[in-house]
Amino acid sequence: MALFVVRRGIGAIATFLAATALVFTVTFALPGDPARAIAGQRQASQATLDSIRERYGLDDPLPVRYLSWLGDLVRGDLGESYVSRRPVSAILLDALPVTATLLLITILVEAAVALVVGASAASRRGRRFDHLTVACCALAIAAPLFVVGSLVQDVMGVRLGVLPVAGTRSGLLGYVLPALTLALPGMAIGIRLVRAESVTQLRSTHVRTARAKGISDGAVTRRHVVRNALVPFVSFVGLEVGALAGGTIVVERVFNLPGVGLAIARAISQRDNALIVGFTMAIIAVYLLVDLAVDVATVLLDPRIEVVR
Amino acid sequence: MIRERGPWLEPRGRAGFRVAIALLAIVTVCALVPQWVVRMEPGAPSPTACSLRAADGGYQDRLPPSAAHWFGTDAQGCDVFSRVVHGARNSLTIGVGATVLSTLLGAALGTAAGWRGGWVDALVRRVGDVVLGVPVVVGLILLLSVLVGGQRTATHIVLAFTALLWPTVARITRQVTMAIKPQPFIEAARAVGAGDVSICLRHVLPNALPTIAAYATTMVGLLIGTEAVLSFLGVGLQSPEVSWGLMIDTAQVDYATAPSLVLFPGVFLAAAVAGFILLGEALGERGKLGGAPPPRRRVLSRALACYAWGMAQSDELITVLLPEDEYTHQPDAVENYNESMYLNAFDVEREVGGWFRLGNRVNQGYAELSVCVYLPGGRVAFVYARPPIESNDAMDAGGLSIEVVRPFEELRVRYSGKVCVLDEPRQMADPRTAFKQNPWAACEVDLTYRGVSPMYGGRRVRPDGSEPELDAEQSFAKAHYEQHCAVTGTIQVGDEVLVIDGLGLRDKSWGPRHWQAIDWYRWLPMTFAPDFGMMISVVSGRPGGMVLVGDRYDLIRECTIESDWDDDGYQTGMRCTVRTDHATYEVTGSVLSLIPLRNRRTAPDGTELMTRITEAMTRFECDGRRGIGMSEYLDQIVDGRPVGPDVR
Repeated sequence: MALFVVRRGIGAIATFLAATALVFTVTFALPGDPARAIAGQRQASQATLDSIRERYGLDDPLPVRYLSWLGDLVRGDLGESYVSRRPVSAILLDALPVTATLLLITILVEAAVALVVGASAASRRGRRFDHLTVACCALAIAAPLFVVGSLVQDVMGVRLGVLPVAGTRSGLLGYVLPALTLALPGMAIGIRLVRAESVTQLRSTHVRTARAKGISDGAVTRRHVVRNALVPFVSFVGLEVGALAGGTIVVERVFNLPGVGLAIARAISQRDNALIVGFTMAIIAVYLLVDLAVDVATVLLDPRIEVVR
Repeated sequence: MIRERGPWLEPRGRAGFRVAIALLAIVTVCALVPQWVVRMEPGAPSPTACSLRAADGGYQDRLPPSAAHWFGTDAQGCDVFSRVVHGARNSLTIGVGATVLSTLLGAALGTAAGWRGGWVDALVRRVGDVVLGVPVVVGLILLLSVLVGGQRTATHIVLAFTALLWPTVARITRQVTMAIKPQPFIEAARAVGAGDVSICLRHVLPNALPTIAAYATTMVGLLIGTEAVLSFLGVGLQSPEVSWGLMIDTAQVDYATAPSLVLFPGVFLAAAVAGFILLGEALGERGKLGGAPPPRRRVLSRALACYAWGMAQSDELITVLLPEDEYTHQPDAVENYNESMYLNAFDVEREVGGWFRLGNRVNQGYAELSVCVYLPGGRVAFVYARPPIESNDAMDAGGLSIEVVRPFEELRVRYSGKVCVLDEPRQMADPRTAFKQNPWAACEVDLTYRGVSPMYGGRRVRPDGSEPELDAEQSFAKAHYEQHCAVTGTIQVGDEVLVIDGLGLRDKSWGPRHWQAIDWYRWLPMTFAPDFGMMISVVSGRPGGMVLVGDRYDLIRECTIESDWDDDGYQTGMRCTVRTDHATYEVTGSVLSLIPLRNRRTAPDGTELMTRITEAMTRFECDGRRGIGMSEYLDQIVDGRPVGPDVR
């Protein structure tokens, strides 16, 4: 087990190094003068350009720049925003709690709805509820998040006035609509996953045995079906974090939540490359960490070890 | 959003397949032949044209859905239905393009990795793992915002998708390849001397195809959705491209007041995504049952040819008109480049007026100068000359100058020279004799034009701002616009002074021009009041024009012009029926004073080409209102006869 974790850990670090090297080469080492890019639209004087080069160490050879950049990265120094001149890590720390809260609620909603609805649909396979669920799922996956977001915002927030539509001023309540929106496609995929897995389980011999012993349908579903269907679902939740990275940017923009996604969306429009690179590196690191954690958890949760009592 | 590893393909019924095919048929038709779905506005250069309204500051606010605009119009006055239909092409191009490219790349690398094993396998897998370590949308933002500095095109987006998505296909192909490699039939193929490449192409790839096809079809749907997200985030396609994501992004701020602007493109987007996902699932189902028929090559190539044809049919031109277009342009490198301005002016009460035209043909070294004054009593003072010019820098030659005081607002026309005064203007059918036999007089013109309408027309450009190719030999103009004006000033011919405080219409054209490029047209610019005027046109049978109502132009959707003719084949009057989105008008015209003009050119093959242009000051009546303007009838003369089908 320990060996597995170490091996996977080294793999994740290697992937991270390769990804950073790639991103570094692409953003900082390509033709074009980064000093001029930093100076922006203004007609920069030579002195300004020199001071920018000095400040950002642009005159050093490329490998030196990569290593020092990587060293800074490891120490948590993600550089400085071209626009606000604040350290990118400080901006990230401000934004992180918002996004973390949003993601947590989203994944909880996704997991709860997927397990309940997915298992119910499976136990009513071929009936109306099942067909309706499958159709709604297809719709939820296809519906563009940013349209759903506007719709939800308008109906629930503006017309019915039941929930706050933007910002975090009203505390956790402000997260309800964004999290519901963000959870929609993942929920749909989760439902289908749990449903498919449950259908397989329902056909399996241990369920037949349990039924033969006279255990009620609900108990069979709870004890034997959902539990086994949980395993692929956990790895799905891990992948979800990566998939949600894109959705977070959209939803935070629609609902004006001051999280990581909104900061990236804003940086895109301001062409603040330092912030884009710093934030995306952080996301990649988090993504790899979650991936690693999920792999370890899957091994720990393996039904052949865990569920047999 | 992309979920590249979602194991959620599962068997679905036939209903899903049918729904998918229906949805995709709609989207595909929109993408290939939008011109079949969206009716072109007569006279409008393109179904998505709308910027002419924005150029004057926007006189038309968002309109709710109606019979004319099924989905309403957006804040720029663009027809939302047209734009939604035209948006399908970019979505489909990017979705299909990126899928095909990343599938080809992924399948090639995956097969190589599975077949060769060893370091090739290790390299492909490691690089693939690194790429998959980056969440797709995050990677796209990095590539498209940081790497692509300037205008992003569909190509950039396709390449960025490909760079991030090939590893998934490579994984699938690699697995299939490794499963097939030890099979006896591969050994048999090798035994009869087949090479690696041929075995992979003939035996390995066909076996991987059903799985790849199902995955790729689903991928198209997800990519279309992601493309919209990119536009929404500001790293996708950029205006003036037409894209569902862009439309939603623009309209999203006004969601509360105009939700339809978000919902209509949103529904199309969802339909396209759902169609591909459902089809992918249906294919995946077939693949699982092992019943997938091998892809029929002929069907595929036919579909590709169809798609290429649709792209070539692209008429997605938009109309652009900038203040600097009022001034002269850099001439094209063609002999027949023409940059011309035409202005007419009339006094509706006294029924006098005139028109002035200067057409710089700098590459031929001269300008076409025409001054035509309709004097009381049916007399016409006219001059045509070809004064030499050396540059296209100004509209000033042979004593006639047209000066732009303020673009779109004020122009000044001055002429100082001689004109030939004709008591019998029809003598101009033979210009040489007419100019010789009639008296000449001094003429002084000084008129100020002030725009009372928005601008109609402009330059036709592709969405990326480039000009479409033009066959200079077959061209009449590459850009054209018109405006109704209030005109004040004086026209003096000999001792007669006409004080003008009236109305008129002006136009400007530039680009290569042969007068023989259009078979025939009927052009009726007219003014009734500063807030009511029209331009009715039928160009080679195609209706067009606009009606000035207040300070806005209603485009003419349909019109007919039925003319009366005299024994010489010149128009004496006409009855017109004009329909706009808001009203129908009956207009009758009667010619007050007419002068026949012509243009002759010897074609490169030696044929004598002759064009007749009849210029008649005409009284118009509409709904009991009296107006005045021109009826300009152009016909090519073939075998001594005008070609217009209405000429008697």
